[in-house]
Amino acid sequence: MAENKSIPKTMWEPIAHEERNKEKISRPSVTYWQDAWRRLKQNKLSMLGLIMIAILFTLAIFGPMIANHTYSDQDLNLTNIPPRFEIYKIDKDTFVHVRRDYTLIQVSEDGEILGKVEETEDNIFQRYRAYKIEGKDIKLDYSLAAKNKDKPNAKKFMLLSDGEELIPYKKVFNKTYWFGTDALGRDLFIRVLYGARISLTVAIVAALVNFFIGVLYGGISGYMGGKVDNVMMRIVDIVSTVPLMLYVIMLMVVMGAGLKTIIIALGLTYWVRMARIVRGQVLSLKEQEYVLAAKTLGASTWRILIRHLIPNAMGPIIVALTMQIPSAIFTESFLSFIGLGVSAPMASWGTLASDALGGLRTYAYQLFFPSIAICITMLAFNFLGDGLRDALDPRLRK
Amino acid sequence: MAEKLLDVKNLKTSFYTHVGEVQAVRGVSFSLNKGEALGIVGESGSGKSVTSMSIMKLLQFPGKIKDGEILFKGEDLVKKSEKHMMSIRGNEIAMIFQDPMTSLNPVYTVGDQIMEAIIRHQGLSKQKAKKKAIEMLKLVGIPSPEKRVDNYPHEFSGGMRQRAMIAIALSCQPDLLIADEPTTALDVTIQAQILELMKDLKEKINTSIILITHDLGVVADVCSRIIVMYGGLVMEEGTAEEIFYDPKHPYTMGLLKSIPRLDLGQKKRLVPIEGSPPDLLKPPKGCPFAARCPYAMRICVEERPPYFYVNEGHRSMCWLLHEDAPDVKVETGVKRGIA
Amino acid sequence: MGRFLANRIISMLITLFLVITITFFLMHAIPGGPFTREKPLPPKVIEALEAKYKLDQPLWKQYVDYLKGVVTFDLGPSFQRVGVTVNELIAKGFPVSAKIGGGSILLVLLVGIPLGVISALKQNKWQDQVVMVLATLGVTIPSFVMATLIIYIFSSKLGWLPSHGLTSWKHMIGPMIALGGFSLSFVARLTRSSMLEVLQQDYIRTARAKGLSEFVVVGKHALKNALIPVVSYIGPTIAAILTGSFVVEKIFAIPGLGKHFVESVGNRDYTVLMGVTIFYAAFLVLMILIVDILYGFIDPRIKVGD
Repeated sequence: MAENKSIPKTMWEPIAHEERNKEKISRPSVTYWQDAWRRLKQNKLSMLGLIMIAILFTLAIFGPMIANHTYSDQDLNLTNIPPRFEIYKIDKDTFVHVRRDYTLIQVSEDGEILGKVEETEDNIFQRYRAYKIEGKDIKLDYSLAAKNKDKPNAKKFMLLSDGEELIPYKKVFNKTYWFGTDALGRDLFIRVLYGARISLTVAIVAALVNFFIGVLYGGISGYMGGKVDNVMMRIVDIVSTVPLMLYVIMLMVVMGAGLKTIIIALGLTYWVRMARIVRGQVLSLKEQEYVLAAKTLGASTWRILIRHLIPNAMGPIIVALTMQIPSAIFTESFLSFIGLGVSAPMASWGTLASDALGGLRTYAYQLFFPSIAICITMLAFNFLGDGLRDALDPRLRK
Repeated sequence: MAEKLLDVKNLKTSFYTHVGEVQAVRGVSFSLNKGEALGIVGESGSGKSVTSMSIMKLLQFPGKIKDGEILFKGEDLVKKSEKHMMSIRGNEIAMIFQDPMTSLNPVYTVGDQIMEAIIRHQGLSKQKAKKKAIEMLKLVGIPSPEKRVDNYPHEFSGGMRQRAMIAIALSCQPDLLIADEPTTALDVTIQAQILELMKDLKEKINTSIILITHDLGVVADVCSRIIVMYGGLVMEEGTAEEIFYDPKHPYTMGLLKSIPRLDLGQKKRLVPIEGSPPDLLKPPKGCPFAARCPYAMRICVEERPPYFYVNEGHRSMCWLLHEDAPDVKVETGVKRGIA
Repeated sequence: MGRFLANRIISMLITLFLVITITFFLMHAIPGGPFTREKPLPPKVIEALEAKYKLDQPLWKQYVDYLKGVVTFDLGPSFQRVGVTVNELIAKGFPVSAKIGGGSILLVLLVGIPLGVISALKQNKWQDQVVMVLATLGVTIPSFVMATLIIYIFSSKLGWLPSHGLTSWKHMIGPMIALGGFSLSFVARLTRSSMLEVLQQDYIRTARAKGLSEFVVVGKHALKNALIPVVSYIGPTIAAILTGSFVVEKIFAIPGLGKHFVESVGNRDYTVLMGVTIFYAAFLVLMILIVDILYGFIDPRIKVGD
């Protein structure tokens, strides 16, 4: 069934090797890490996670430096001010905000807090407070609050200026305290930033502990094998039967609450899972030819472990790290929440959330910000971890 | 002429990946008669496994049959519904796979996995199916099958697992058995046993076989006709004799030269085929083998050769067989009579 | 099977012995002792108290006595609540905690696993995306935030659920979700990835090649294999739910064991702290043993005889 169309003579010439390959596309060779990084970059969520973590670190390190309050500055006159509130216009340039405890603070039109207004009269029987602002008689009548106790959306107070009822002028964002203030008048934004410092400190400690104790323990156990491995893994088994939280709580009770204790407690207990993962990796890796080759060349056990085995187990180690770090942050906030974490006036996100519990119904924002901070951090680490797992998994390599 | 069981016409299968369309099979045609054993030979990535999965219609996402017909007993499988395919799979067409270590489900007993197909297709009761399963295990040469039927796969050796796979495949007396590299993962001695078993059962059960392998030695033993695949295309087709003793395609010749042989003496070295297979994401427009072919000509990279027929059953996709082609001295296959 | 059990029980006992020892000496290493108050008690009173609780005896004697007590299931009296024993506290608190904890484990398994399976089968479709977004959120929200959110939204704002106590089935919903939310999300993610991996396996291809329906392929061949990693996560789940109960019981004001535990941490009730820790450890060790036996049934490759 040969074709009948004639074929030019030149076509029958043999061709050189290079010419034959001209259609072939050559793929540049990339190392494992280059390839992993390339694939991580393709994963938008992971990059988002990475950027979020970078921003968190930047904010935690530099944020408190440039702020004009510190985490412990209290102003009992300015407690429980929300991050967004209604203002009333008294005069051309005079605005006030009515707080939930029916006192007045003076604010600017764009939401800057100017200070508490001292009342001229506080009548707790008739339930009103009187003020004198810019020559006007202001009366804050909150007698409605008692009547409408069970109706959450009903009107609770009236603000009268020279006997005339004022209506809300507008809603503004709090320019002075972006996240509002807590029950002691501390700047919630700064406290959340400080919380980030604590959480990230815990994250770094957890990472270091995992890396140095967990990786080495697992590496030695896996590489030594035999009896040593057996004993070492039995210890791990025993340590890991009881939840870490119980150990940590006991240590906290013994040593007293505080950041230092949290760090020690994490250090003593947080390497177990990593040790298991690394041991599994090393067990399979040590059978590989390059280890035999290194042994034949006379490399020391230590050198084989550090230079050959652990670098090759890096993928799973990094993936496990991105799982362990958020879990450590979780543990810290959990402990702080039950009152075993950092002590006042320092604040971690768990403490902030715990402090907010009492006023949850009225000042929900105080729970909102630390909770959101925890969730965003978790989300960032989870996104990054998921992406790393996909990027570092050799089975997915093409 | 014998009755045609399977007739594959211009089959094209592609994988639609995120980097583009990978044309794994680019127009493959062949047919298989009743009771015949056909060998499909080629290196990995040549499209031989994709061809078999296309026949079963078990392509994994994102694989898709793009074009062509697969006539099985005269009916086009490409057009069949999934429901209809389910009644064909395991019943009329059965398949065994390369790695017996991973092809059996580790959490169910071997017997359970054989019975499944029997119950599904023959509607037997559990007791009868178990009896049949024991019979099948006995047929494939598993000692004390009454006990072994309740074993889990991990309690079987590799060779025994492949026997069990064969028992599963043959339990419903299929008309066609597709064996995808059935011996590759096994020790040499076990390989021979499994091949012997397949030949034996082929006669007993009267099944046609498509044997897919990269090992020419394996097909020589079992198959009467051979297809050589490369780059998603059939390079050469012929009887076992023709392929071994009178190959017409340089790729086939290269394959033959890369088999170790005792009879050639020590002076003759194995000749590997230099280079690697083409990237089917961007298949070459000419002959896929041109880049590695020692006889490549300008036309080979410009235009894909048509099939040239040496005789009715022996075809080859190579420009060297064109009447205008220069007479290059090509080394032919294995010398007759020695092997 | 017998040898496996014997082995496991021995290592269980070793673990427990170590836990008891560590706990005991840790508790006695606390500076100040149990009767240190902000306003110091008169020395006479302390002496009397120490004599009453046998704290004036040498440490080793106290340790041996405590061990004896644990072996006979007597965890001693509470130091802070007069006339209440640790045993009584556990007997009262544990059933309450178990009700909620058991409920949330069921919730985790009965909701988490199906969600993961659906997600895997509908990979990259909207069902998968919805489940994965929820599951990702689920592992990012701490139980105390979840609990307060539930109270804030469903109790305070909407009034659908009671905010505290444990007197009806409605009371269980909030705590169960708060306790199980994290694990549920984790199990859904775990089941999904395990299912996806199993669906790639050769034996699934074999099952399809046999002509089995997709329902049988997924429901029988894939699911059982995919559940293996999930089963091994049940142990950690129980531990997570147990520790989670510390805050959830506190927030929902449920008189369970977790609440007693946290209170004993707060008011330095050492015997309660010690007793509950040991009880938790024993309970967990037992649960892990049960899960291990269960594991052997699901995965025949695990030789229970080893």
